[in-house]
Amino acid sequence: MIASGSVDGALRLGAVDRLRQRIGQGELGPLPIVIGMAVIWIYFQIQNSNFLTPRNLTDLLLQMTITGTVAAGIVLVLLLGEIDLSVGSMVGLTSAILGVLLVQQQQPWWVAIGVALLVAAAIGAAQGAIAAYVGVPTFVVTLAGMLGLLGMQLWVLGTTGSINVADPSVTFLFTTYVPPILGWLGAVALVAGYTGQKIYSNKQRLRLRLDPESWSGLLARPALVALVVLISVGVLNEWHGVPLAAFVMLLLVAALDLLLTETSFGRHVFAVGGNPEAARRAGINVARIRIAIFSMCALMAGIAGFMSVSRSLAASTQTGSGTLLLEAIAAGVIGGTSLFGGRGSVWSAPLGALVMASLANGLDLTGEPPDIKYIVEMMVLLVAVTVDAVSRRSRANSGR
Amino acid sequence: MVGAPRRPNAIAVAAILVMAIATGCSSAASTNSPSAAGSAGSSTIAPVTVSILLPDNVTQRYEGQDKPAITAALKKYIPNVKVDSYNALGDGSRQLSQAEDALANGSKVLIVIPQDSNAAAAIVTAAHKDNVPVIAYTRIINKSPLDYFVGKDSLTIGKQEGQWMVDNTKAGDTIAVIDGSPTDQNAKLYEQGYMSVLQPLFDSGARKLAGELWTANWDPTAAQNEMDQLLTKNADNIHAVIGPNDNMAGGVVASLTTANLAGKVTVTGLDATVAGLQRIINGTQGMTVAQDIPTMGDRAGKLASMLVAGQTPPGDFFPGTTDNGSVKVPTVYVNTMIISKQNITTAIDDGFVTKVQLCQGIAPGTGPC
Repeated sequence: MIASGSVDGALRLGAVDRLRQRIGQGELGPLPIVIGMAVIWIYFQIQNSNFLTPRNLTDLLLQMTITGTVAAGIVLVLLLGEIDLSVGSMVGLTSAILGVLLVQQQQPWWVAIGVALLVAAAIGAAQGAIAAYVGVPTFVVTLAGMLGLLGMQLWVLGTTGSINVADPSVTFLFTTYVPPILGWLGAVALVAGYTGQKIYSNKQRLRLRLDPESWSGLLARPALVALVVLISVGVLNEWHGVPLAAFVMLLLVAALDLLLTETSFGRHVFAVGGNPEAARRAGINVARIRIAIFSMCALMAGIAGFMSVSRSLAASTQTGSGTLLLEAIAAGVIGGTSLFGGRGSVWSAPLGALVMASLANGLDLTGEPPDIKYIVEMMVLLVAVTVDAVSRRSRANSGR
Repeated sequence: MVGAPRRPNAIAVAAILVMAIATGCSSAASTNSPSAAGSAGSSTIAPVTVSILLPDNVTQRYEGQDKPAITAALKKYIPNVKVDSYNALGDGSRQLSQAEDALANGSKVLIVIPQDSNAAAAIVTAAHKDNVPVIAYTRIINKSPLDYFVGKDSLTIGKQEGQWMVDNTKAGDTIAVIDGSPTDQNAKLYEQGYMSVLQPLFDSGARKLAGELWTANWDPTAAQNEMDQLLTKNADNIHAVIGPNDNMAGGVVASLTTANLAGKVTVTGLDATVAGLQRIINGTQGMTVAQDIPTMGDRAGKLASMLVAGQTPPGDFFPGTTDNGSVKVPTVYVNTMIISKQNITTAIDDGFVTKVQLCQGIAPGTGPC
């Protein structure tokens, strides 16, 4: 099971039939999360009328951006059926490197950012290599990484503890908004690009004599995407415009999604995640895929480290600590990526992160204490993994 | 499912989540770093061991300021001392194990900054079995026959903070209250302190409460998000914020910066960190509270020296007592000082920061830089 469409004999199924068939076979995709999100949003809107305002939705996007970026990296690793526990410490380490180089060492911004991202990618690749060549489970390798990177973070920060960063070359990301006109243009370009990609891949299917999608099936998704994107841009333009940081995060996710769904590298990732032994016998270099994916995951965490300096205007010993790692893993799972490998989409990262951020945001607006927040997050996470497990079982039953 | 040998099973996945939770905030390695010093030269006197138990390695001041201050005082007052220090890395049960190790190593006094003010009662019990006295340092140990307490008076600090807030706002102003971690006794005492001053004003309408939120783990990111939400809820109509410590005040100021309100809203802090003092210079934070850590370390060292020598400390050594729920603990309170823009140079004069540290990244000519 590699490509996203399904091959169902010669019958051309309409969009509705196809959807019904998919649900019956446990191919839920983003459906549960969208329903869940609707329930959460409506509930909080009833509780507090500030929830669905352009301003709060803008805040919400900014609040989910860092978790979403880390989670996108985590999803890559989950697709391999692996885990990376070091991403939280990686965010902390890269933010510390950035802060120290920029403020204490007075280096230019591109040196600071370049060094931080290079360190991240290199450490990620090293972790992947240890797992791939030595055969240590990634759970243990990255657990060790989590401890070691936290140590390096504290060492880099030294006795200072917390560094204020006011350099506009870093802070611009979370203080800049895309001007409304550009926002609209971008939205139209995005929808056009997505539709084009759908049509192109359908042509490819025809060329390869695969069962093409029906027109209704082909255009249903782009229409839905257009609706969501245009409404979002319209709402965000009511406040300051689309926040640049969230836009960058979505661009990164879109790029990763293209890489996974449209390239042979991406197909290899799904193949290794589905069954590493079969992938190896099919001639895929499993070790190289592992190393590349762990490096990319760490790089995403490094970018998130940059983002968290930009957002909190500081690098401190607490950056990347706390619940960031857990929230990122939870976001991937809540978004619908299977913990069992080979199934999911990078888009589950921003979706899941948005759910987590919505909960925290709404519970703040209604003035709930942290204990309630944790309990609610637990319930949402449990529901998400239950949906994953149940849909997995119905896939097994329908022989897929 | 067939032929997928490397696929993690459900148990492994559960283990991942459990492990991740267990190790989420801090690292899992046990560091037992006996930073043995003492007087190796004067070999005639057998060394006396005193142990320092620190709560975590994430808060900079414990390893960076408190440990050196206590160690220096111990060496000053007990020439043949051997100082062992342990760091619980944010884990209360690890701290109990470390206390047991310290006792097994023959420590004569335990100086403890409890990771968990309640669970640490077990440390007192264990120490008393070996007739070893326990000094709680900076955080009290509740519901236990604790011997001594050296620390700040959190309730009074909270009251001072509340009073400063009253003095620096005007009638009708709206104040947001962001509290620290609900699991930390100090956070509760601060809250009682500032609310004892502010609540009557909220009730009479002299000030308005924009909302009060508690923050797990003193997390600055959470504080920033909470401030976003409070600004939304009040349509930016907030004039001042009680920020429970400097790190979280940093999160609050970042949120205010996004809303173009930084510098226009008065924010309080605590701990006199470099970052906090820099915000005071830049005008985005109103005040912070400095503790006299050198004196605190000195008092703890002096107290330990008397206990090691078998003396009973004189009554006037303890200006007060603290009720920890079981006994009235003889207490040495250490002075605290409010630092704001007016007296920021005292932070340098009193050695909280060096001028080089303070002025890093600050435009020359701003304040004392």
